[in-house]
Amino acid sequence: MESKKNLNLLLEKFNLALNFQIDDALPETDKISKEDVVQLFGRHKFFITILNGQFNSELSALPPNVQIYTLSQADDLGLDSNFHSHVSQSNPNAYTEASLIKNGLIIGVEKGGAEDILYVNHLSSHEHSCFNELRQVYVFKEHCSIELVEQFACMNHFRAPQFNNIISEFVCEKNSSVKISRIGSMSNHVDSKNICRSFVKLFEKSNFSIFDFTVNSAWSNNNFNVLLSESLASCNLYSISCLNGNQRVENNIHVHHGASDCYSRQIYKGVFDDEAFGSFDSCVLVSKKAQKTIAIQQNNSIILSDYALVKSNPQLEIFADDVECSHGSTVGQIDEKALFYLRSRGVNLRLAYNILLKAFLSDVIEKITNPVIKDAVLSDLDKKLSLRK
Amino acid sequence: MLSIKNLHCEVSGNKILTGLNLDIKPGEVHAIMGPNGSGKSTLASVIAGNENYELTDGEVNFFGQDLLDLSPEERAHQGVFMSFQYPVEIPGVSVSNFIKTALGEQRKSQGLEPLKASELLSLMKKNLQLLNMDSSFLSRSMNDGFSGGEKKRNEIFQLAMLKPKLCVLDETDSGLDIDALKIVAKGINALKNKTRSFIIITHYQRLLDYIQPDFVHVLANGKIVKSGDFTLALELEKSGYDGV
Repeated sequence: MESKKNLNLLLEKFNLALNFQIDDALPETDKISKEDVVQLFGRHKFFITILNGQFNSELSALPPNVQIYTLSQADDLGLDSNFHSHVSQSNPNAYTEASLIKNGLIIGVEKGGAEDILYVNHLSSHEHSCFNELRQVYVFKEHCSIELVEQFACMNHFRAPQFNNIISEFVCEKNSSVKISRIGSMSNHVDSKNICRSFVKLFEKSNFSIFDFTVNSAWSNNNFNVLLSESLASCNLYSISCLNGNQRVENNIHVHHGASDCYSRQIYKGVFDDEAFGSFDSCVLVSKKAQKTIAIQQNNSIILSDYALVKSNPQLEIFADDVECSHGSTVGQIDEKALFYLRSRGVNLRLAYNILLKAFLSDVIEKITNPVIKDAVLSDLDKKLSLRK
Repeated sequence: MLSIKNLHCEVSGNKILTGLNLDIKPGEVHAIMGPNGSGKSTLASVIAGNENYELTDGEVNFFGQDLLDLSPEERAHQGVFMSFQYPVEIPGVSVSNFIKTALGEQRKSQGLEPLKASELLSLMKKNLQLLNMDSSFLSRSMNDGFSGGEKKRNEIFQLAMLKPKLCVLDETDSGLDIDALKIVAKGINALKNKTRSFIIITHYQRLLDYIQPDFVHVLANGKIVKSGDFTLALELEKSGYDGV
């Protein structure tokens, strides 16, 4: 019941109509084997499988410094004081919705470096279209260092589009270092819709980087709400969207510099074909006490057709007087001269487009340090770009 | 190898070439000189296949094949190469990747497998030496932040890698200092052979001090108005284009 309530709340809020029926029937979860997980997400040493919003220990292999808790254990972990206040202040709506979500987990990462990447596999086993909700809370303890890859898949992806609502909370304690890649799988149903809201709170000298990759859902709403609460913290938000048809992506970002000597950088890049739509709405707020802030905001888009649309709205609100803040926003098209240059060297038109678009995205791609993830992203981009007429 | 007959072309209604004729045999070096706006660069672009120019009349034959029917990439596969007056900067594409792709596409068109990485690398290194270029050059982004001299050397480097039959050099000497000019000329001379022909488009006779052309043509108002041997270039340097 609560789930239905939340669904209606979201549809109303985002003025969204679903072109598919949501099914209430409970999925069968016991049919899924480890092999299924490997087939959908790849074979990895460490992985967490979140099946229909529930942590599944049988389908997971945790590194020694990672522990899973239920949402009800939040109080025991002392999360209330440092986390919920941040969500409720910055986005009361999300706070209400978050408390309505029953599915969820807390992932605690203890001190120490992980030897390998931890894959977080979000899997839906519903036979039919459904509304998936999840609240995930990550607590990165002092001096921990970890690299995560979040992947999303659905057992019956080709038949049934999904509507996903995910609220993610990241608490980065002192000196923690976190790197996350979110890879929207190419195997998603093309009618799927995703709301992904992330709240990040950084403490002293912590470091949080995330790479967001949107290629294959009808509608994606990506929200980031970042609070740099203590000095010398840094946060990087990188994003690539590559959309065609009637796909839409909305990126809403709020970065609050609440302490001195912090660093934040956003690089959002998009390629839009056919009638695709993209928006970038980002605000960096620098509090009076946040002296020596460095904040970089960058949004570049390429439009490949006459009907694609991009809206870019970078904003800065600065109350401190000794800061380095920049924002840049461009919307353009493929350079005809560069295209001719490549063709005159024997590169065919299709490949020339591919090369130039990947070159355009390269300043985000080169931030992906893991070669496996980089290859996966490049191959998804190739697949997507090859759909071009 | 190349035969241009009565070529007419225009851009948004402006007539640029008005009946140009040119015949080039294998191994020949032709210099095309002429004042600003005479149509020199247009000629180069038309040969390479730039679609911004509208061809209204005439024909261009390359080894008996109608060149105008081919796309720019097909022309490149047939052995046409144009060195750009203003090489395009492509941040994010390294020189080595660019060459690898271009050469791979050329070989694919000939039904050949791509070169092995080691073969390709040694070939690149050999050609870099020819142009006094460091191998760190390969990892830089294509023309991005290159000096004028580096851009032109990069053009000749690609020429050396792709081994075309017909090389059209559009003002390769512009923006070069004397030393860079000598290096570029040395590179071009090393790449000359009995089957490879050159069209060298230039404003000045300077480059021709280093690369001796077999023929010099003067282009004015979209036509070749005078042709001669090397001495014509010297004459032009003395008396200017008005004297022709």
